[in-house]
Amino acid sequence: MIHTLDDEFLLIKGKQSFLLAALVKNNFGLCVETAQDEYVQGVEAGDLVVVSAPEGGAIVPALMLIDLVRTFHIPLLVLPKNHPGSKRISYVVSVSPEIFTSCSIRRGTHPDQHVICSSDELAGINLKRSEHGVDISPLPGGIIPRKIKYEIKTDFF
Amino acid sequence: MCTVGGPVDIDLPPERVQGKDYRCKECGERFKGVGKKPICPSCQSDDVALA
Repeated sequence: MIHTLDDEFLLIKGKQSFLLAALVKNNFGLCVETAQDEYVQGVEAGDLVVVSAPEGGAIVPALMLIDLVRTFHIPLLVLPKNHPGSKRISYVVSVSPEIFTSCSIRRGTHPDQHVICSSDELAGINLKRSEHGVDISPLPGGIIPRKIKYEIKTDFF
Repeated sequence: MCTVGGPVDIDLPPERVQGKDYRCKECGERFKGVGKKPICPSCQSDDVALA
């Protein structure tokens, strides 16, 4: 099912975990840093940024993480396989035209941007960019995606 | 739950990501690009060539 998106975020919330998706606003080179090398992935406007919180938690950090990537273009860090810090990571992010959720990968250890770690309740979902939005299939029963408006404002005084 | 800390992990080794070496024609930056449309990470130009 296609969900139209502009500047909003799309929340896919399960009982214990959630995914948050948004569209990239403009083209940029996304740096992916691994222990061995640096890769630069060309990202286009309309591609997807997806944050997964496999254990759930607050949504605001996920909103911030998406903005850090799509607006401020911060590099993504990839942990080496079997790194002990993997279990500390409560939010993971992927950027790609198409992203598949999987509960069979270790958090933060895969530079491939087409797959993202999720809980088992949200595993097996394919999120694909479409014209003016995101195509999500299959969506687990009972889950209705909701749009979120979010903006960071800073007042100096 | 996700298999963090568990024994199961599908085989997606980091070595699978194979970048190509590019040079930016605008700023001269050299980088390893992946994907169909490489973009310079320094000046964000898409005017790049295989190095």
